[in-house]
Amino acid sequence: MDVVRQDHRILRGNIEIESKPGPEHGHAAAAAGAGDHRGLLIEVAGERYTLPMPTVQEIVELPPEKAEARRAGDFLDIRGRFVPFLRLRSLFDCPGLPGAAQNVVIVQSGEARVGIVVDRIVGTNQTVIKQMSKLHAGVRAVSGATILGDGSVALILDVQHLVGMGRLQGEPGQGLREVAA
Amino acid sequence: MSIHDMNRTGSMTVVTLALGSQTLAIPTDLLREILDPLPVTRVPGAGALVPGVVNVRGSVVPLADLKQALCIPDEGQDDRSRVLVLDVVLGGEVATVAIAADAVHEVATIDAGAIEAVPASAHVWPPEYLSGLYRGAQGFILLPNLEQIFSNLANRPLAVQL
Repeated sequence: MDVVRQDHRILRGNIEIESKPGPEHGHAAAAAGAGDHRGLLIEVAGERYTLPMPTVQEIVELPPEKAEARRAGDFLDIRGRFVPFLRLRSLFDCPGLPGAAQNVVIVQSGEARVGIVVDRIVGTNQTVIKQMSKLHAGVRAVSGATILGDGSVALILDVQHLVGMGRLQGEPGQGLREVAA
Repeated sequence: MSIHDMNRTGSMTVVTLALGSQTLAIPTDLLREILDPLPVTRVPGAGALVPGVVNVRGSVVPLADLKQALCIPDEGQDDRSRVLVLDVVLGGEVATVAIAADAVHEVATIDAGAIEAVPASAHVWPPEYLSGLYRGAQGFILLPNLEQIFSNLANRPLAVQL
């Protein structure tokens, strides 16, 4: 079962389990649904968040000329493809200013990608997904939570929603399209 | 719990706690545990009423600020601050929520006959958020209608697109 799950993580596919009724088969199915996944732990203004590892494509440095926030849609050139990016600091209304070097985590949902600007990559971790309560059901940028080794809670970001927000930020303008063509 | 239910039961056991200068009473039936202050993880965009979540023995539990809901001025926290973990009915299901208290006083049994309806002229608190009040040694003690408060919190619109 663990082998299947490892492949599942790499391929980002769904597992279909054919099992006959019986104690050992039931156990295997339960283990697959236990919500055990790897995540990329990131830090923004001292707060930690997790991105589901299967959605993470790559991590790049934020080019210095992009460090200053602009009002118009921001895009990164990832090997000739324009990728919109979101600054978690402004999105989450964090106090203070970012450090000199910020990283961008490129995440994918479906065919669309978005860059997420973070202060620091902490590392990967094993996340046990906990549901958010109904009191936080309206917060769509968060899909769940996980408990870190030190006992603190890190929120799991909803990549699908963030990608949608990246799209809303505006398609590449006419000028950018000409550059791309 | 409505006033009628309380009156029928004859007496009820409550835990009293301080929020700012106000004293509240919460039925001990709802109380799961009282904890020292916990590290709070902020939930961006969730607003001041339920600003974050805490880790209660491995469960991720929302932390609500009843002072915001009941319009009680914040007078700061000290080392008497506590977190009360409660089981409340939310949308027909029992949900675990935590509330912050500036201090926890005592567990008391009150005579249900002593509980009065909130006067209609009391505009200080949102009337639908209180199920009643009674006279304690130090003035009025409020009985918050937690089910109503949390139902409204679960259905409130959020200002931002987060």
